[in-house]
Amino acid sequence: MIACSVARIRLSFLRVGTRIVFLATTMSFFGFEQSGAGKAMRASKEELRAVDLETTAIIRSIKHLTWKERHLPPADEEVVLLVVGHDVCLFKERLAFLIENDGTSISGRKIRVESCESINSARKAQSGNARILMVCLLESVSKDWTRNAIPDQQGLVLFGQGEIFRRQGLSLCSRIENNRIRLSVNLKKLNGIQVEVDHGLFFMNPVFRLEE
Amino acid sequence: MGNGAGANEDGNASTLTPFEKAELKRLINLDFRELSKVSIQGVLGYDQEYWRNPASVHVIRPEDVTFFGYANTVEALRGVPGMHVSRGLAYDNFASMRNFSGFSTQKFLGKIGGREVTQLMLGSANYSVDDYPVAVIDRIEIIRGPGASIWGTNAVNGVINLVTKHAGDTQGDSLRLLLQDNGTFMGDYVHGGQVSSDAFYRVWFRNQEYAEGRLDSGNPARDDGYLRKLGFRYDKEIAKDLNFYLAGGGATRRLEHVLDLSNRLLFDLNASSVAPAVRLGFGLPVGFSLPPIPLSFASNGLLPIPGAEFPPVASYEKSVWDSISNGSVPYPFGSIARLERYGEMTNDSGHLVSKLEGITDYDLEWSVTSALEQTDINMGHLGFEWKQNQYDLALDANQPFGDLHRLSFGLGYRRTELEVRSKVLEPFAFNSIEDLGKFPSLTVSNSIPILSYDQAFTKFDQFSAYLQDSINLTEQVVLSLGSKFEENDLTGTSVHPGARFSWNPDGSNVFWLGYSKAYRQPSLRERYTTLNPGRVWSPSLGQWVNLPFAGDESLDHEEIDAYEIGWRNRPYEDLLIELSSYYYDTQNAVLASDSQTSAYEAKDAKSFGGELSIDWEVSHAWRLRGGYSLARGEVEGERKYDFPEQTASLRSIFHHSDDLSFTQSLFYADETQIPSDYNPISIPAHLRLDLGLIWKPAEDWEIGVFGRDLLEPHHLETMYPGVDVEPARVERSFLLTLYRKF
Repeated sequence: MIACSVARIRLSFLRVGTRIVFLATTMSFFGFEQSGAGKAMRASKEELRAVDLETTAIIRSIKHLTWKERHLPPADEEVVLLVVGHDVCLFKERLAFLIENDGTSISGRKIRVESCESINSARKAQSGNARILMVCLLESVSKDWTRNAIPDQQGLVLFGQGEIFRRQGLSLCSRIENNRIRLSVNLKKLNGIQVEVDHGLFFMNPVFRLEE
Repeated sequence: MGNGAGANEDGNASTLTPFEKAELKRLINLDFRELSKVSIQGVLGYDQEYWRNPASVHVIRPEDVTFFGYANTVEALRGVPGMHVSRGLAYDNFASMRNFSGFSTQKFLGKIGGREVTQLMLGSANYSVDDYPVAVIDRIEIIRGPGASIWGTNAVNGVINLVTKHAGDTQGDSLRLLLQDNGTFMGDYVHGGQVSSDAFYRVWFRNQEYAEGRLDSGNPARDDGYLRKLGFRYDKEIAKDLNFYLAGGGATRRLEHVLDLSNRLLFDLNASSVAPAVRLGFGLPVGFSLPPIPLSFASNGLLPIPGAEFPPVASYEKSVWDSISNGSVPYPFGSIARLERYGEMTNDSGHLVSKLEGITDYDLEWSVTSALEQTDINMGHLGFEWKQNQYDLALDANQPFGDLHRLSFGLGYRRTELEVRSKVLEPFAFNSIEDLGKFPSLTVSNSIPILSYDQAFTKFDQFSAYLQDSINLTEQVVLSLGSKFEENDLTGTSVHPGARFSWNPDGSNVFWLGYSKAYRQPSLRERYTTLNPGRVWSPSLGQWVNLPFAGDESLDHEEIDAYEIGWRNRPYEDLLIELSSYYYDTQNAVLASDSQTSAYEAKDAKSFGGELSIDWEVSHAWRLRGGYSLARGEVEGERKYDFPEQTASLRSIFHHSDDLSFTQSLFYADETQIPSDYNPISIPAHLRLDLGLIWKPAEDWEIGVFGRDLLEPHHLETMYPGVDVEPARVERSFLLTLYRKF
């Protein structure tokens, strides 16, 4: 009798469990999508994962770039990577963490990561500031970007997050392709700002794509 | 709140979580090719290192092999919680995982270089023969527990997946030499080159010479021999995101192995005139069936058996048996003649694997893998040889479906063809009644092999398919549902459903649950071989009688309901604590039979336990990794185990400077029992200490000096039950290694 009751309880649990799984699966197909607004505000784990990969690729690529000495601040000063935009994925923190852990430097100079919210602020910060060697434009400011919103300057590398920036011809751009992160390198642009690229960066390197 | 401890007004984390920091540290150390393979939306079962993965995963890197002075990868499994690695003779280490794994690697799936290496005949893999030079190994993933929905049959206790590097990542020359103080030597040479801008190759060669060790008694183990291997791999990028590789290899190994014949020539007491006195002496009832005793015991004078009851010398070629006599071995109430016969054990194998993989514009990731393998294994000590040809074809794919789903699916086909030969060993080449159970139609033969195979079963087909969906129910919760379907000639149709659930409530904890219905198909040895391990002299018949133990063709596949639960905690980025627990309920577990006629029988078994592992980077210079496992098992209500109930390990790497490092390993294993029909051997609990010093005289060079098993001159770990006479010593040893990396 008791065994029968236990069996019944187990069965009912099994049925309930099956229904929950079925319901959850079905909802996830049809009705459980996050709203667009929510998505814009909160970073999904895929977005966080993509930024993990983007920032890693940026730090790895810095090792293959060489700046002219005249474009660098004095040897005892830090250089700056400036992150621009509404940073929901902690792009800045990720870059700073990777730089600290990897011991990344540019021509022996320590790298500091700073951030600002808008392209205007970035332009003001960068104007006449020789310590800023790279500006990372997040996708959140892509709609505000116009050609030469930050004028080309010798030794200043512009990185853009997303396809819009790639079409604008920035020196370095990321994009998602086939569920992977790829970085486009605009060699002509880099030559124009007198930053040299070690061609080893493209040797057997499926992360990077050369843009002509 | 998002994924972090703190959050801003958007609900997003304002600081990086320990898991995120640890992941970034991992990613920055990947080379570009590995980085390019990291997917944004992962799929469970593929991306083993992803910290949200709802499974117990341990990854061994090449430096875990070289920094601890291991000759091959199976030795490196010692440090994996939930695994027990034990050494038998000089040339083989045995790895088992969780309880009721069988003696050797029988109940987990072995994949090496893209092909399944678990052999149908023995149901296990020989990792020493299938191993690769460390320079070409990318990683070894050890997935504990049955990920049945992707991996399928035989992934009962887990999966070992050895992944080799792309040929483009092994350009130039690499050399690894290892010399042990007893004369054991291993040398690997790998050369890689470029064919064109998008095509690369490598070739490699290994020579391993095993020095002779000693048995527990101090006798020579006669386990010297050699293994020679060579291999190649060719990689080509056919187009953007379309890659192809072809790899192959061949191995040849020559060794000797012993067959214990001490308890194989027997005397039937029941038909002897002393039977009533023996029954009386032991307080047994009249008519009680007495077990046969070794002939050497019967003839030692302790029992007053009349000389006329013993077999005539010519009836069993006594001179042959005398020639294999070598002292004595313990036996209840005394000792018996130690009878052992050595025979050559050879292994020749070759394989080819090709893989074409790509990603379509619709994010469909796919691969087609084909493999051909030929193996010729001769167990000369048993007079048993088989040649196996195996053909595999598999399609694997995965694709995102909306924002929340990632489907993975695949199809597979395997064809196995066998040619099995048995040979009568000289000591048994005398007339015996083949099978007394077939009375009255008795046949007498002088050509009964120790192991014979039913030739009706030499061709096997296996078809499989799987479908799995990884569903992001919320940002914190991932559910994976799927099933594998298999149809094979051995055990028919089976469905292997699995469900896994992962919950990441914050940035430092992941909780996971798993359920799998897993299957293991009995090995061909368990089903289709008949074991004729001994002959009994019957004084009443005046004839030798064979003792057959038949395999059981009716053995069905083992069915396992596996439940797992785990917790992964990273209180800060440099410390990872993982706790996992499991409960397996197995129906039809194939275990050694207690009956007098069958070698195996199916029983219901339960096993449960857990593993704790800790990975702590104490500082930039010092890393500690530790593990503890508890395993309990019962068969039909009785507590039993074939795995140490407790194992523990603690390993340390200390980088004194950029070019000098120290390593230390401590391993503990509980007592285990090696079953035997006359002389069960208890392997005492043991603690093993290894120390190492690694000097890097130049960027690509490593010179290592290692001391192993330093706490005692020697100890015992394992032996082949029923085949070895006694276990071999695992002796204190010192090694010198020289490694030039790519």
